[in-house]
Amino acid sequence: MSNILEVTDLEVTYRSRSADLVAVQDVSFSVGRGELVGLVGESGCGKSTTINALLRLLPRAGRVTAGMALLDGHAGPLDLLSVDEKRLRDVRWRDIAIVPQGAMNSLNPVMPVGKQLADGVTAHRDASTPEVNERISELLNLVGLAEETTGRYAHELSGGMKQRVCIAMALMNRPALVIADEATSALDVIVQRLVAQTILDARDKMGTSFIVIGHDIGLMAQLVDRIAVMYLGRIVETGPVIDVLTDPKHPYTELLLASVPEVGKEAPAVQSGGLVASPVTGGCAFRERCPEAMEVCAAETPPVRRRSGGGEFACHLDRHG
Amino acid sequence: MRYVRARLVRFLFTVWLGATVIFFVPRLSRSDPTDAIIGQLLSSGAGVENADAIIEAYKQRFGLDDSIWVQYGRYLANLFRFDNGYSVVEFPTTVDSLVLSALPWTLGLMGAAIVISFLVGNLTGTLLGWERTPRWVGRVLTVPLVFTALPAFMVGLLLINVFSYNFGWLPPTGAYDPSVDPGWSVAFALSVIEHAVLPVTAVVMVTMGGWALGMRGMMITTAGEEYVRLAEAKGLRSSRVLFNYQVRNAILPQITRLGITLGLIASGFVVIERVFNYPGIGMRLFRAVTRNDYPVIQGVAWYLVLGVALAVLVVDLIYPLIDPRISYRSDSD
Repeated sequence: MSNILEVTDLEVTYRSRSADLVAVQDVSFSVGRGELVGLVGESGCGKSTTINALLRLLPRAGRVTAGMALLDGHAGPLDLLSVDEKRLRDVRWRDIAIVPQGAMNSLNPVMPVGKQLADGVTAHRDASTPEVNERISELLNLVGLAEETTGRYAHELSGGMKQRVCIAMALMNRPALVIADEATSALDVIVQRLVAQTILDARDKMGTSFIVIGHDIGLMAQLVDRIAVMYLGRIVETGPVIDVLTDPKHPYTELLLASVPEVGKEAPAVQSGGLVASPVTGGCAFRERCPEAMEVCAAETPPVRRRSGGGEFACHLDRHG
Repeated sequence: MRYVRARLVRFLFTVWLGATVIFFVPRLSRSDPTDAIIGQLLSSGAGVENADAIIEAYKQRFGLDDSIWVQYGRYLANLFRFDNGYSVVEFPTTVDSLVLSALPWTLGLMGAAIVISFLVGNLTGTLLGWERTPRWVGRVLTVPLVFTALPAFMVGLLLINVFSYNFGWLPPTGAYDPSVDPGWSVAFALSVIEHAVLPVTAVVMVTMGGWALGMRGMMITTAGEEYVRLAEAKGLRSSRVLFNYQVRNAILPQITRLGITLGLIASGFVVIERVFNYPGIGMRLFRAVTRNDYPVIQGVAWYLVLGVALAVLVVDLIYPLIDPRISYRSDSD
């Protein structure tokens, strides 16, 4: 297996008393070794559901109803979605780690930071205390935090510091794959830059692969190699990040790019209708908001077309050739 | 040490406020305590010849002739020396000796009951709120919670009926077997434990449900916390996620509540002590109320205030040790 992660036809369904909601459908993507893959889309599009499914952290109502996610970890390839508890625990944090979305409350408020950094290591192997401590100070150094941080509690740290602790924590075991779930969303631009630099450093020094989830298209453009755009539970376009951002093929990617605020640029036209992600049955999920919707969009699922230069998109139109 | 000083000041203020209320409330009523005493003497069939002289003597003895502020000052000064005056009914016995002789029984009984209830209740709540608890365990654990809906005396009577009268396994009333000499002997200790089993069980049965439901709620709240999910993602053993991450945080409000509950030891669960005829403070209070023994009622009330304030103080002082967010150095109260 040349890729570190291969997700095929993932489908996640949330069960509620009234009806079942398919939150993620036909999601397939792969992450190469040392590759940075961006996952973008508006809130509610299924980004978090997708990665929670991969990490087996879905809330009780959520179920993986189809698909496979092969992770090529230290013990060979295994399907994250179906592996038993024991082996799942074994690959967690060792092969696949996460920098969580809500880093503001991702640290245990009553346990010193150092212990929380250490237990992710000692849970997986007998590491001596000096060895663990050395690794901790190495990583704190990498994310630009003082060594005294180990004795601190979460409430004594600023938001940016907590976020950086979480990044250090995710890298403790040199995992092959790290998922950064909006790891930079709540940070000021200076710290964002530092976090982005840390991610690049980790890739360059340790060969770590990353799935970076976020809204910040500008940061994505500079950080990731490939990008996947999600809309209403489906991936609508993928490709090398520069290709996709400079020559979007899917109307939703276009809309997303038009909505990026920029100094000196006028505000984009207000989008009306369809903002609430309501599942659409049949046809193209984006048709109600699409400025170029045609009759066929309501009737048929859009075909998956190849982009020149790698990548795919799903649309009835192939406007730019 | 600003934190400690602030807690101490609050403790003293609480006790003073309690004492003041206890002093003034009975004096707000128009009835004269001496009338009650004379009334009691009359009703007990004693011939009262020179009632006025007796009233005068009583008033002098209890200082009721002085202005209310002088009385108040004297009351506070006496409290400082743990002098709550004399019992009217059991006259020359002092209120304090009555309370203090009953105190160890109540402390032991209610202390054991509250600790067991806290442990059993929170363990039940933990299992009820944990996502990995097998379903059948959850169902079984829900059953004992029905006793929470019953009044304590009813559960007490039920226990006496079943275990004392039906099976004859345990003694129904009292604190120890009168045929055993009180003292530091194994026989006496066993007798005390044997007599405490039923009342303690009754208290645990009616109070553990509260702990269990509170803990269950907190467990569900913390299960949704990002740090618990992250601990899961770290591949920690599920017991470590449960205890070091989830329970460790879920228990915090329960400990605050424990402080308040510990204070209630002093009230001695009047009903339980009455049902089991247990010689604790609750029993004293019950007898004082039925016999209009005002000084004893006031004395018990004051010790109750002292007990609650003291327990809250202790919990406040140890709380920073278990929750680093509350620090001794912080000046926010």
